Amino acid sequence: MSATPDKFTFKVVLLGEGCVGKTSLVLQYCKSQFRDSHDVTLQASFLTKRFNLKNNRVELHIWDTAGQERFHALVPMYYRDAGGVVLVYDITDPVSYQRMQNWLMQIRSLLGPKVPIIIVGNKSDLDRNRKISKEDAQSYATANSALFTEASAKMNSGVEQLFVSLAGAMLKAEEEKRASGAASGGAGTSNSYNIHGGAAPTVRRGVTLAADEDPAEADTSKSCC
Amino acid sequence: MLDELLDSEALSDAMLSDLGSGQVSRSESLAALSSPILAAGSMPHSPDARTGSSDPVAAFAEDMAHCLGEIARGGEGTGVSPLLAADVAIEAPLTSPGPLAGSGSPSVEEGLSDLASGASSDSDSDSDSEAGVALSPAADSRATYLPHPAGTPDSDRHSVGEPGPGGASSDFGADASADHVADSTPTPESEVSSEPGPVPAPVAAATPAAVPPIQNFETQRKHGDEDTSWPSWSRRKKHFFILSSSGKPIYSFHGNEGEMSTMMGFLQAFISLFLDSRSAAPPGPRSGAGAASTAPSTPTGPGGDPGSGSLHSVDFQTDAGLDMVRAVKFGRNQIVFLLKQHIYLVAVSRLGEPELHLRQQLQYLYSHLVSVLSVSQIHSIFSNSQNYDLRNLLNQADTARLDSLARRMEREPMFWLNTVPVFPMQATLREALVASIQRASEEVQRDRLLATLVIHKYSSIITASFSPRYPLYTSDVHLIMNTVASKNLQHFIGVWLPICLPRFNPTAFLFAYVSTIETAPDICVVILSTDPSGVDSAQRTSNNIQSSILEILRPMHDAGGLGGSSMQWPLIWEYAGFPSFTPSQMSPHDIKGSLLGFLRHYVYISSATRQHHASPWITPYSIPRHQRRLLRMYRHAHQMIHTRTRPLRMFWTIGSHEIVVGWRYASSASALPLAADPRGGGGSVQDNFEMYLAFAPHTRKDDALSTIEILMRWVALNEKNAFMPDWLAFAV
Repeated sequence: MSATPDKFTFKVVLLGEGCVGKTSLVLQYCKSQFRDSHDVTLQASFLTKRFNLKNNRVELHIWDTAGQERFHALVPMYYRDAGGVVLVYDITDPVSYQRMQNWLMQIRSLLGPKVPIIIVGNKSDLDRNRKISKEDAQSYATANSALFTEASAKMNSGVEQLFVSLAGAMLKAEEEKRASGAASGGAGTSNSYNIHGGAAPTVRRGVTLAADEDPAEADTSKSCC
Repeated sequence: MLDELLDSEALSDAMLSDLGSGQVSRSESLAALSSPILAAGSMPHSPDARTGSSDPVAAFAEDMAHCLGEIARGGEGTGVSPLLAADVAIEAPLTSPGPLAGSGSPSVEEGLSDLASGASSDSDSDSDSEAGVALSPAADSRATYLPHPAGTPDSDRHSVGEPGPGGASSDFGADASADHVADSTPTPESEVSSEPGPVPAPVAAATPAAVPPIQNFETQRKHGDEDTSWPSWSRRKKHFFILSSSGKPIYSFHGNEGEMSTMMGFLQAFISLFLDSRSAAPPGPRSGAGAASTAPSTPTGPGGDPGSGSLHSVDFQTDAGLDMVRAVKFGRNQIVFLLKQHIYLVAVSRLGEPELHLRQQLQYLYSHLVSVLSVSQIHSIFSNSQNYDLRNLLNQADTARLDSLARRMEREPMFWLNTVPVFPMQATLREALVASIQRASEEVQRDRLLATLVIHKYSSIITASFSPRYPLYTSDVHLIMNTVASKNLQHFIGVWLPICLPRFNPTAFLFAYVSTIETAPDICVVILSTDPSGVDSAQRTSNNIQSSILEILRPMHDAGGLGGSSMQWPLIWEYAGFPSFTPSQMSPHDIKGSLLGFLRHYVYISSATRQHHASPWITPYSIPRHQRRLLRMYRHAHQMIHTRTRPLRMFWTIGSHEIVVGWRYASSASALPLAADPRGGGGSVQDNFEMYLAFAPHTRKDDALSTIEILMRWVALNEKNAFMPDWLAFAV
């Protein structure tokens, strides 16, 4: 199995209040860009990133969502197939922290307790304006079995690490899933998240995660729209 | 960009020369004009709208209009002559002499009076000049208060059989020289050259200091910090305001709308005044829309909303029953109102644009709001609380897109032509593209897919695919093009966004997957589907389409035919598969001598498919300022051709920088002898077309006409390359 690297494709969704720097994180990570000006994200924007992790080839399909309130109703559509979720808040903005907690509850209830989540306190370069202490956030994350880190898209500190550690968690969850129930693999095809139209058969593995949650999601998608 | 637009020189062409020349003071010129206006205004009709100050409503309206004019005039001059206030009259324009009422503008008058003086002996032109004379009283400085007419005089949907002024001979004909050409003499050069003076020079003198530099193009929103107290703000030549019916600011083209609550409140009061005075019910609360919707005075037919009646009836959504103030003209300032059920839009322009075009632009701004929020959402929001601040639901991206829309309407003819610009391309390539798009789309989502668009540089359509049962509307396509041009799209591989297409269905959202091709970032693929959860399938479809586009267009792309700034006219032509004229068809001299010699620019519109094709900008139009000047000339020609009363067949105007010709041909029984032979090969015949052409200033009429003839043959030959197939006709 380890002779040729396995290829994993994960869908990662960034969620959080507006203006916390979700897009900045993604652009810093995928394109090494940072812009001081603030452009509001249009609904949901998509980027990919490939890298190797533990002898596996990982491809992240990153969906950056708009934080603005008028888009919130549509957000469940984006994280329904997500392999992992990045929850972003601004360490200088308590409202965004509160909002992040709401997101977490929502995701846990919809995607189940196992989906890997990383909580990111962005704008760590603005330490002197900090309103949310690292310890509080860390303990909250631990209590909700989520990963936690602080990052600064501007300084490019902790950005790569956050995606890599999330990818690690997703890989682990994926392998657990594979070990626990090989049978569920067949069921996942109907809802497979496979962008390349079957070019890489291993891609489907990333899907079983979401497929298990299918009935619940179907309900929520109806109720939210 | 806009500063250039506001450049004084931009106003210098003959069309725009204003009522007063530079040396005459404003009050004098207005005084000179006031007599016919008052005569027109005091005609005994509408009982409650009258010039006399005895009527309090009219008196108040005068004051208001006066103040509005002051806003529009900005820093220009200091004291206001009492004459100005007196000039503002209220009139029920249904009974005004010219059905162009309210759309008259200095340029129209001037064009018409030019016509009158220039084409003296020509009978066709004479009739037009009569129209011009009849028009002028209605087109001056006054508040125009239009009740809802049953048939809107402004909505200028052209029917094929509509007689032109040259009805006697229905075709262009071999001798299409002076007979059908409304000729206008050039405005004397001296007058033109004195024109740039009046606006900027006195202002500079009046406000010598504290003018902030107008140069920071880098800031995210240009001059976003301005407010009404800034001299630079009030000197801008074009403003758009959007406010809610309760007077809350929603958007201002220049400056920070949040700082303009006072003025927005004032606008709201001004509008409500008319609404209240018109409704038969006793003046109720100042809830503009509420009062208006109950107004029983004018039963309008469904869809009969003159407020949105624009040149091609862009009325996406009609709010029947709104009685409204429509326009206030104040010297060179034109203030145009567009009232929707919960949202008021106001344009203030000093650029001499026709009222209809301004209203159409307002309609586009409104449509953008609808595309973001949908009519039903707007309605439910404001029904719940009339005081709602709509800005809570809009974000910077929306403001930016409104800004870009406002700018693009100034420089891209598609908005007022109501057409979709088509990227010239070899017909076989385009067909292959369409086929591959259809293959790719069918694979994924059959019934959910509404349309696919491939857009080049956010400004022209390479190809499209949609079912003829659900045609795309031109105005919706314009909105899509503006939306996807948003710059924050360009960082991403794909974007999924809900969008409401106001013309298609103003109450429901569609879902658009927008992606740019990484290796050819000029090409953007838009997939419109009705499936809210169809992100993944849209993404797959889009990937398939992208790869087939790359495959098919590879030769063109490699050669730079799709490239960015390197796009050159000959190159495009060559790679678009436009065959050059071979000696058998045309002598090389013709094409070189005429196209590159006299003809400087043209726009060719296929009326049936609502597509247009324009030549690239070559010198001297490589400078944006000249482009805008030419486009204003085109607009003027377009307006002359499309007036409802006496549409011209051909409009010929000689400006100080170029000769502009507008020509509309609607096929009647008789064939078109000119282009008959090259079209003999079959294919779709562009029977109805419009052309706008710019010639070098000293081109002789004969030369120009023969050039047109050549161009027509050429377009006829290349029709399939210039336009998309007939079954991809856009709807208006």
